Amino acid sequence: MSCEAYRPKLIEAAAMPAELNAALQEHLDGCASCRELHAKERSLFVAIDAALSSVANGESTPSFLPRVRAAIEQERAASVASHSRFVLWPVAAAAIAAVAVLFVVFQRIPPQQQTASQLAASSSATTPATGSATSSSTNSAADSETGEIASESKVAQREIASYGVGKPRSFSTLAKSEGRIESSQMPDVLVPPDERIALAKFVAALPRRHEIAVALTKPALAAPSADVLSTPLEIAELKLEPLSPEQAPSEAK
Amino acid sequence: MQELVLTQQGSTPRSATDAQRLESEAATREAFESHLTECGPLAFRVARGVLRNTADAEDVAQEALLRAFRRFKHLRERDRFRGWLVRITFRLALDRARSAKRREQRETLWSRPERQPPAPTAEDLAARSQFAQRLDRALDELPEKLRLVLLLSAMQGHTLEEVAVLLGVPLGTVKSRLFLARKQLAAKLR
Repeated sequence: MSCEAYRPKLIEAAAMPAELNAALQEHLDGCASCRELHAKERSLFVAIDAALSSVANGESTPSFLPRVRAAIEQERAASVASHSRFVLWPVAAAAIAAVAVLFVVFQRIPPQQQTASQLAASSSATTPATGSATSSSTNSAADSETGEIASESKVAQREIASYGVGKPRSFSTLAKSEGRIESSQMPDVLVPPDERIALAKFVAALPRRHEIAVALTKPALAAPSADVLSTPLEIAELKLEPLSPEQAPSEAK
Repeated sequence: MQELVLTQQGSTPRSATDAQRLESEAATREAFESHLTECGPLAFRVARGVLRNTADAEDVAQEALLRAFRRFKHLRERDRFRGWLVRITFRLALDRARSAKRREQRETLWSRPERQPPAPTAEDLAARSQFAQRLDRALDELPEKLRLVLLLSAMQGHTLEEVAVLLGVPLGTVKSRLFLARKQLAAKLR
């Protein structure tokens, strides 16, 4: 075996110090150049190991570990603070939500007490004729029409009070408050107080004027059948006369 | 320490759950402190083996230990803490070395000659031997897996079996990686 064949094995043997096998040791004993190569490689790896040892075994400064401990304490304090914030945030959010809900609820409640008192003033101011009719009804019990109007007015006042007329309110707001329509179905139309008073009066008088109420509130009939629509056949030339005795049927005799 | 301050202010644990949590945190702190004393120098050495600069290595080791602290309570097998810390530190050190290299290249590219740092003096050059500089370059060119095995095995008190345990690989793998690393290193330095 030539030296060229031994050299890779010699380098590997220098890289990982171990017992050289017998064949390699025998060649080294007899070959000066390979022995020199092996020694050179061994010295190279010794230098590498020394340099690596100095690189890998450096000592940290004495302040290293205390500094790490301080950083960890700081981290821990920050995490505790963030935990506290994490606990407080939902509480704060719930409080804000509760306040918002209360605000919305109070905004939507109609001011009934105020409207009732305002109603009396407004109805007397806006409908003087009705007011005089009310006074005349007390004086003249025989005037039934006037008395009826007066009672209607009182009922209307109660109705108006229940609706609330403190300020002009939109029809859609009224309808929404009564749950009759969805908020998105109706445009926002302002209804003046006098119109709402008139409507309330009309609604209050409806039970007394039963026929009108029935006619207005009765649902439309379905399309009548052809039998109902067909009028009786009338023939002007046809004349009906009683039967003469000769023409009477035999059973009558 | 933070819990101690809270206790002094009168906020005693409100429930058994809180008390258990505080006890658990105290136990975790104590366990981490013992690991810190034992493994802190190891983290520093790993970082220094990559960066070859004491200040940078301390910064990286501190960052690695902080990360380890954040995840320590989620670590199920604490026997593997050393290996876990070594891998975190090695990865962070590699990132730091790469970013430093990129920064150096950028500054070299963009800075004008009059703003460049002064050339190293004869004393500076003498401080680092030519062989050590060549070794640094050769180490930087090694594959990461080989470099980590080489550094760990060069640390005092680390047998190959311990390196295998640290890295979670078989002993044969450690030996073969070490052999390859030394061969490649020698080839670059020859």
